[in-house]
Amino acid sequence: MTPEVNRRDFLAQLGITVGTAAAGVSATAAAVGAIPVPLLGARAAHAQGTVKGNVPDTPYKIGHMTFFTGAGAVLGEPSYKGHILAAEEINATGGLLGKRKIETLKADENAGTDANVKEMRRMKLSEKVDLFTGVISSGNTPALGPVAEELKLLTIFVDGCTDFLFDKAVPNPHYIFRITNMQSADGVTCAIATAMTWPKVKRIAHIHPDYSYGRNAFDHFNIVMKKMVPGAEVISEGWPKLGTTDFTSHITKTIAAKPDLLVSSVWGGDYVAMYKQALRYDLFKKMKFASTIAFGVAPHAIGKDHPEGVIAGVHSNYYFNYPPNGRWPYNDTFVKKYYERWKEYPNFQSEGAYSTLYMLKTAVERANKLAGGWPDDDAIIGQLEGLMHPGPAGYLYIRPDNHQGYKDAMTGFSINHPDYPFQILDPNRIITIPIRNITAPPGWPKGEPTSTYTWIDKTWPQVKV
Amino acid sequence: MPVPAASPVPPLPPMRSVSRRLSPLLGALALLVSAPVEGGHELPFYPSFYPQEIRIETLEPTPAAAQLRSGTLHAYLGADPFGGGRLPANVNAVESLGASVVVSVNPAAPAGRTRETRCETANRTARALGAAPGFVAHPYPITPFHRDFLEHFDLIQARRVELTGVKELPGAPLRLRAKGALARRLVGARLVGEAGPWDALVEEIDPGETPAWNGWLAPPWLKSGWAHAHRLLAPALTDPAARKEADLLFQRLASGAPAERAEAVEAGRRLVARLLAECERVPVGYAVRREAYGTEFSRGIENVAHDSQAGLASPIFVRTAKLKDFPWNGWLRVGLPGRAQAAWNPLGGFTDPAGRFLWAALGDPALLPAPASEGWIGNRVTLPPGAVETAAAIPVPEDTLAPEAGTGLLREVGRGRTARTRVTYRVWTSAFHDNSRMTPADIAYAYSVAARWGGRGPGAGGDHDAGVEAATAFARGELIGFRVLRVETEVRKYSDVTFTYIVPVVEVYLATAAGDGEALAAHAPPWSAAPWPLLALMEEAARRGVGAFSAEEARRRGIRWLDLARDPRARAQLDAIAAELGGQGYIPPALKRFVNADEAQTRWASLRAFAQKRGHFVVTNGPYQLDKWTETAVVLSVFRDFTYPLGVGSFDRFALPRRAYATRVTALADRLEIGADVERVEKFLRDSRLVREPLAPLPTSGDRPEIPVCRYVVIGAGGEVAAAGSTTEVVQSRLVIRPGRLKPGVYTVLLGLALGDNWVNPEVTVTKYRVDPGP
Repeated sequence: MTPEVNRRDFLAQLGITVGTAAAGVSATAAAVGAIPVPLLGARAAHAQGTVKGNVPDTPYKIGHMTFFTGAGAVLGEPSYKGHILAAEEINATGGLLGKRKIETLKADENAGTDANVKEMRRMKLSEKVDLFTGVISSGNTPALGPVAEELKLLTIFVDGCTDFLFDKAVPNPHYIFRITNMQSADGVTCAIATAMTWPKVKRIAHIHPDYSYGRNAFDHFNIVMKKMVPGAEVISEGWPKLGTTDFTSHITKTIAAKPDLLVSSVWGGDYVAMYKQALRYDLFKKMKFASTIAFGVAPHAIGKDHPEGVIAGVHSNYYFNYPPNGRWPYNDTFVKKYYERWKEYPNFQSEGAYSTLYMLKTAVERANKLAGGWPDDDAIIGQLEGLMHPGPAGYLYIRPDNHQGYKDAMTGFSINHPDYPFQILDPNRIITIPIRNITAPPGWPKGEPTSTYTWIDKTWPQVKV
Repeated sequence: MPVPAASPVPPLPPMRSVSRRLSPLLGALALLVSAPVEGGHELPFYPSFYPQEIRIETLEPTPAAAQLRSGTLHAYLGADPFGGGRLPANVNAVESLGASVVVSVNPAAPAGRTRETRCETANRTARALGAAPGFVAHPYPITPFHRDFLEHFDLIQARRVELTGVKELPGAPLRLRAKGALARRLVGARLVGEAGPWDALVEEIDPGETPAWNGWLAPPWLKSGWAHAHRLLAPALTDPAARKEADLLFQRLASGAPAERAEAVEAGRRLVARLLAECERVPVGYAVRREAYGTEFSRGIENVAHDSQAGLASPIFVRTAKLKDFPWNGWLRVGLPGRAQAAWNPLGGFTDPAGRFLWAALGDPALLPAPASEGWIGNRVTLPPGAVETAAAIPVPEDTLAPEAGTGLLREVGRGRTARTRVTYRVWTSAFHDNSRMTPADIAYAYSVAARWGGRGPGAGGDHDAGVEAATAFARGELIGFRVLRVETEVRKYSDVTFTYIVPVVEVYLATAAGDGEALAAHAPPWSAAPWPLLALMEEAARRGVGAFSAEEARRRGIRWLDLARDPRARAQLDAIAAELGGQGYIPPALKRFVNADEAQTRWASLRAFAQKRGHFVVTNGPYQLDKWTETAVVLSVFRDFTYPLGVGSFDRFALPRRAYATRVTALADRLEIGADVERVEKFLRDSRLVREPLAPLPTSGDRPEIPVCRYVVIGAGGEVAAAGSTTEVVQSRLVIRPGRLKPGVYTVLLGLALGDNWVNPEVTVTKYRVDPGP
């Protein structure tokens, strides 16, 4: 029998924070039982320590694969910019261990999965890259992961967030890591934010893209709602086919169902088309709205006509105004440098790619400190496993068993602000959730549709009605 | 030429290729398969192009300017609503080649009697012209909007110098006539009436319509300066020998006969010299077409590409226009000064400015004109490695099909035929708007219709259309035959979604000789923008007098110009004919070997169902479909069908044209070394800017920077072209020209640099190069 709890207690147990609290950035540390790392200024954190032994001065070659063309470029270009910014900063101090300057080879992920696999092989075998990184698409990481293992190629995926990668494609990784939160966090985070903010919603409508991300968001939102808002029911579903540009039928169907809340995981240009069409029908005046990924493109992609006060997800990862200015030096510095370098604000891919290189730098330095000289890949891997890395988004923890990065999941509420020509997340209402509390723990059996789903289903208590 | 022989259309990534037999796949569909679990949110491929809807409205310039200012109109095509004045802060503009202005000396006046008096009068007229917004004085037919501007640069400079020495003759004021608004403005007070004596006519000549026909945009030299010069000036040549010489030079260039680049450059220069020699018609300048688009942060356009000669009313604009408010999708609203008056049909319609823009979005050509050059870029056909073969006599397989002039029947060429060129195409088919799938039958029927209605042969009936004859003359003249080799499937996986495409591989045999091999792909590509049942329906409608394909033929026969959408009477007749043909399961005689009875029934049913649902017969396989229209507005909706092989962003590389500059030229014994600056695009927020920086040294490994192309012409003391070519060789961040063996002497070298095939108005460097006698 599923145990029952009070909703407030339940939310407290999940370690959720709301607002501008700096505590949010160390929640992951507390949650995983690690020793909190003191908040250092960015300069101190990035400074080069004493190097032991002889280190070669040959370039450290990194293959960065991301989308430079096509619709995915809206995520890919920020990823590359984050990567280049970090590489330039590290090279300005002499490179890794002060000796090895980072040299980047880029590849367009838009070439398609098969071509991407070939490119990874080429980069390793012909270009002799030391590290492979980037990758946005969840269709690519399950294909590239096993090849990286076969090639013994140290790889840190910035995204490609499908649970499938470590659940099934590479269940026991050695060479590959990934630093973005898993896809299931989107639906879970959105549902928790909904339960916290609008606990009385009962009639829920959904509009999701008719492929796996939409199904994943739908499943994980519902399993959490089942636990946290018992009695809430799905009264309408819309599954626009890929390529749909006219969302009118889904919008009118939703309005006709008179829901309390509409949940959606439609993303990118499809989401913008959908919300602008929904505005014509006053949809947002007729119901509450929660999205897993409304703001999960680039900050400047969302117009000021977007409805304010809705839950506007960011793929549960990072938004540039959180942690807020003055509360977390890493983010202050990162956003400032990124803006100065690229004349725009970073998104979660920028932050991920940037953090990837600093995580590598930290691992290399620690390994050097232990054994001296240039560390081999296994030594670097040893340092990455279990690493608690302070990055712009907060602490990122690399779980040693599955090489998955964990950081506090986040979402927030949309607001217009005169300082920005686009709509932003309200910095006073950011919701963060320690990722460990919404992800299947180490050793949890692989499940369908995901391990996190079965873990929530089987272990979470149910809120008393 | 930028149609890459070794790689497909750039946006189409490398794919797995599986050859299959033709017949089982004729009815196969491109599949969209979705598997569970793996997918993320970031499906990176969205078929067709950015806007989900394009609304085209007839607008006068004044309201257009106001709406551009307020951000409610995205772009205004064909004219400058700001009259050449300063643009508002949230509006930008693109420039392209507009009308040419020429002077023709009155042959009956004393000024027209001799070559000398004609030249003197033309030069005086050129000097006497006033100014007008957008007018550029330029005494040569080849302009900075032509790729071969560089090859004529010294001659253009010489003409300018010649003009500076021309003085107004006291007591003999010029009496000028003018044709066209711009010409009248330039002539000003020297304008005389039609009745009185006159010395010269100043005339504004439009560069002409792009001769689009179904999915062909040929001829391949459409944008070349020498072809423009011939089009502009040859009609004025009165001496038959001079005309013949000019035509021979033109044909020589058109056939690609000059094997060496220097020879081709020389031929182009001689052609222009011949055209100008008698001063019967002399170019004095050209208009720059300025077209405005909104750039406001939220509601403006972020990406825009335009054609150097067609401007925004070109296929490349539709395929790159991205709204700032949308990562993709959005409602694009454009204005045009005139109503869409030409009939809407793919075989001779869409010929006015509004129609050309509509067809640029509705129809999908096999290849697109390179926007800032004179070559072609793959659109729906690609060329595998070794696709273009040329030889003196390539045996043509006897089962190659040739369309018969006058009947359109496809007959095997039989034994013993040879060709000069064989081009092997991969044809990226997709669904038509009526949801039928394109097959080799559609490809074959385009050839058949061109031959039946454009050609004249012994077996021909009365089926002829003068417009089709003119538009297809070049392709028909060069085509020997075609052969569908096989049909392949191509699989592309994105995220958890798999796209499967049907790709026929077709050989085309041409009579023309080599020249620039890849340009041959544009001669007679195996492609149709419209389904065969629609073409068959139109043919029957034309035969029965419902309407003619082209305006010329409609005039000649005294019948209507066939409109597939807006003419209610024609539509009703088309409905009736479609019912009749569909009921019979009609298969055109030319297609008997390509289509079986079941397929024919299905295709006709699709077409008729579409017409019933949508109220028109404008069915294509293009990226946009005709949605609705009024007298003053047309709405197109995106065709985001997952069989469509090109996607959002496919042509973005043309949206922000970059330039390269020679900063220093050093002449050495055997070469010239050129220091270069290149431009780089920096994108930020919803904007971008170009950053100019020195060409970086090539790294020993890793990503190579894009190397500019340097073109050069080496001219001897006598004005002869001694060498010409292009180079991308770089030594220590300097480009290197190796002109090869030259006779001792002093040469003039013209050189220009370009990035991304942007050859519009290059900065031309002129330098001396001395070759000393050997030891």
